[in-house]
Amino acid sequence: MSIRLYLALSIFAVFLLAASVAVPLQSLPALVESDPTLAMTIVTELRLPRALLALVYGAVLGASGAAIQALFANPLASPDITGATGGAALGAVVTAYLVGLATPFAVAVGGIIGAGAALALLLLLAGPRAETATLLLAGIAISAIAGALTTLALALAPSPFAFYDAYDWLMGSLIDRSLPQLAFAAIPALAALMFLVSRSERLDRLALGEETAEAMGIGLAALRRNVIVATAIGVGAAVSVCGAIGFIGLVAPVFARRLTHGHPGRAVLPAALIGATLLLAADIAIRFAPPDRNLPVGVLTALFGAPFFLTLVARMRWSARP
Amino acid sequence: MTWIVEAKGLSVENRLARCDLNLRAGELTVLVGPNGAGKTTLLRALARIGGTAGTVAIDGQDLAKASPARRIDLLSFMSASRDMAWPLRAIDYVALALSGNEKSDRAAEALASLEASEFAERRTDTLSTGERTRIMLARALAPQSRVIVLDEPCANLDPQWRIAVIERLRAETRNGTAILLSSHDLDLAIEHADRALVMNEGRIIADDAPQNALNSAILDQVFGVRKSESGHWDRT
Repeated sequence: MSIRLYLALSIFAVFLLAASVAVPLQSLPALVESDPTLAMTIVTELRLPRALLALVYGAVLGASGAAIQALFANPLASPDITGATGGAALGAVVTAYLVGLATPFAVAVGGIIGAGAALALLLLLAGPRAETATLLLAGIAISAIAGALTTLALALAPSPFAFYDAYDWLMGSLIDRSLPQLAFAAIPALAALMFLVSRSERLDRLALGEETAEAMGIGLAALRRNVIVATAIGVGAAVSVCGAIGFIGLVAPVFARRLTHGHPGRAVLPAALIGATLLLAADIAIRFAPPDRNLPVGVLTALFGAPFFLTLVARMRWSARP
Repeated sequence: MTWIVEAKGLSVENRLARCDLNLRAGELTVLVGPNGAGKTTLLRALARIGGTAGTVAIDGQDLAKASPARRIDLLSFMSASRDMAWPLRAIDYVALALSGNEKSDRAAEALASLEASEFAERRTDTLSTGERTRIMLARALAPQSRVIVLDEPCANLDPQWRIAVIERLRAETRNGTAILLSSHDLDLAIEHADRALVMNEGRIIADDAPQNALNSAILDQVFGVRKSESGHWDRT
């Protein structure tokens, strides 16, 4: 992919970031005139963390999706479909509501452990080069177990409001997150992102087949472990702050590979940029929902992502891979 | 000719008994043996794939300790599987084995040397098994490694491409490359190889010029065949 395309994608992401801070536009100019301090507070403490969270979370979902797809040699693998986001949500819920450690750090660690456990279980169940059907079935099973255990954990939680508290968060939302929460999502996510980008070339060479890659000196066990740990850290921490947001990790790499002539590894960075723009755009779009209706962004990504997923399955069924 | 590969104590539990193997620069060695004899296991051990005991030194350098960039200069490996893990354009598939600014040109040259330029822009999942075989060979030849290890490179090829591949490999050996390839085709070993290794039950049981290594006793004992005076293969 050319530098120009990277630049164009980056400029578009920055434009959406600015738009995310500015929208809805009509309330800000009046507020700046009447109460500039309050206007500033709204921008720096509400809108900016929300916009930056969308940027970082979208980027880590896109990059993790591309890396997992390259690792499993399967374009249908992604953090949500492999059960990693479900595992992260479970880890975060157990930490916050059952263990009773509700600090952002503890919840982030819980999310990371949950995501890591789900991916390790997937590797165990489906094997390293999973057939699509095996991968999907194992992912569905892990997601179902994680979902059921999350509900159980909330039902057993000492707080009677656990379900209500958790609803908005579990559906995936970027609203009302503080700057410290942003830091707890962004630092692990950016670290994971940088690591995954550094593994682009190795992930590409995996496209030559495991034996050939190993003969070229690529340590497969280490690569597999490190990509899974990085994904767990990035996605786990982001889910612990914003809940599970589906399909970005599936859709972004598919578009990214169109820019890299199908190379799965070098699609990691463009997938991050596309993931960030998709989530920023989705988060701006939900602000146009009817007034007083709080629509979680995860609902919108699922509404558009699920049909896209079906299209991918259909294309794999009837023709070559996307 | 001097040793370019010195492998010592290669072994894999239950599949490959401890064996030493040296290869000379400029030599085309064909590895033959019945199904399950351990040919693929030996080739994988030589390329340091999977957990194998022993050491492999190429030009005196331990292959297992070489960096990935150096390793591709020393040894290139082609698997017997014609499955391609991820569909790419053929030219990109070949270029993945290369590094540096000129990798597209070098990949195109490698494809051209196997008369596969017409597939360069096609995705690998749209190619036939024989066409994929040539793309995989181009990928293995492109880095111009010191040693090339090929598992069944002539399987799935039409006669004309089989000859073209042998000629191409011969051109590599003239440049000083050591080539070790496995084959089920005994005629290929007898007619084209400088040296034949015969494997049976996880051991190298003969290592000599093809006519000597594949003598009538070995052919009978290992393969259960004999070559008639008219050149036909018969079961013994």
